[in-house]
Amino acid sequence: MSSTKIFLKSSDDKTFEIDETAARASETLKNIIDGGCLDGVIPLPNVSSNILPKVIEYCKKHGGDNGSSKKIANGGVDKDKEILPDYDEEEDKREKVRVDELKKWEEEYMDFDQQVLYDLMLAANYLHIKGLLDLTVEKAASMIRGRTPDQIRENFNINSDFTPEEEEEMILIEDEWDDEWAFD
Amino acid sequence: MEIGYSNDDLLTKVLSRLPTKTLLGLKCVSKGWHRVISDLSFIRVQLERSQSISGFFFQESFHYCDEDIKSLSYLLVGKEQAVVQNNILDFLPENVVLKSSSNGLLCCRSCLPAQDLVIYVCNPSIKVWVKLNWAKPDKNDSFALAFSPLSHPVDICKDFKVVSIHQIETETNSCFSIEIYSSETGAWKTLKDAYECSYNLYGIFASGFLYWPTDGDHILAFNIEKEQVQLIGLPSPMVSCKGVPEMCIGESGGHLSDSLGLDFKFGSLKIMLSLNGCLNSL
Repeated sequence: MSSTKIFLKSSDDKTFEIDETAARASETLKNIIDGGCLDGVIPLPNVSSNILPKVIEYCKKHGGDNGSSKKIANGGVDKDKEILPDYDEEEDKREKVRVDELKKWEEEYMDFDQQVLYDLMLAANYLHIKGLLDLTVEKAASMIRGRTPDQIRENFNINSDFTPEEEEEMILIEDEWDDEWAFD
Repeated sequence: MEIGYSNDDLLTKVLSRLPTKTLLGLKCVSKGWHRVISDLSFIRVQLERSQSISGFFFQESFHYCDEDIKSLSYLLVGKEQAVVQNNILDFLPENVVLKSSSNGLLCCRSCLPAQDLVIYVCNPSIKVWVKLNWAKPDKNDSFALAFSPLSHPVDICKDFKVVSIHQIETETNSCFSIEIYSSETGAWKTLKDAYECSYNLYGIFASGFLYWPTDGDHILAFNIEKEQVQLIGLPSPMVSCKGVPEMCIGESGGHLSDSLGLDFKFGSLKIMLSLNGCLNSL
């Protein structure tokens, strides 16, 4: 693998350096690199300098190894391994250690506040980094589970934009929506 | 976090990780959430993801008595402990006899004794129902409900059909007529031909067909789309022994499964699978 350096420019005009192999963790960046449209610096108008280092940190960990985030998502089990003819138990153990280590890393990596989570989710979506998107989306979903609408509004800073009348009608609206098929 | 407003795509991704029941309660969070959760393509993905059985209904019936048994139990599946609920259809205006189910909808009729025999189609998960008029009520009519919300490739089909089989006894033989109710037209329609067949039980909807086991050695198949009847031969007749049917049919994952050639003495279990109307014995 070459270690060509790629330069990324954040929305607030700061430039960051990343190895090409790491950058390939992002589908968007990979396409730009493979498409040959690389002209020194890649501008990322949707990613700020607060978030970009965080994204780069993830790519560095996962770059050149697109499968690893998938293994994490599957609970560390790589099913393809079983059908390989030269299946190696030692190799499997090393793999498990590596996956465990990666999980631990992700746990520490994901320790940040909600605004960062949202910005990181946007960046992962924009840059098509599937592993990072999965991580952030799952974290956001876990913050919704088991909470009431009121708690969610407070937690995510959402104003209920329903008028009091609408709110009263919510139950009716729900019923209609759910069963338009039956109640035309 | 501005997850509430700015990006439906991301909110969709996040919400799609949550169970459907949770989502119903989250529609009142904000207009944006309401919009995402109510979006047809979102519902579609959600429905496809959660195609598992949530529970079983039980209802007993008298064999020779005109009255119906009111109590109806629902056994919730998937909990660590078996949970039986007896009040799941209490939102209906009267006690009912469950006649058919299809993809989350139930078809029932009023319990006897009743002043008016009425058919209800309801969705117990959100407690809503609709009453169908029933021109010639007969408690022996057999019903089957066909509701396949995902049958259309891009949209969600909200229409259901109820097919009723009405027994006609003549001096020489017994036959039946078929009536179809469509929620789209809101009306019943009678199929012209009457079909010769013996007593029928409980209708099942699977992959575009309705199926009824009969007392003979046939399963009656009804093509919803083409409104055509077809009799499928069974390898062995479905006879009742001491009132216990030897066989019943069911639907599993969109396919008809015809099972319970149950012989308790020998513990044998015959299972047959049907794919698009063709029976294959296992």
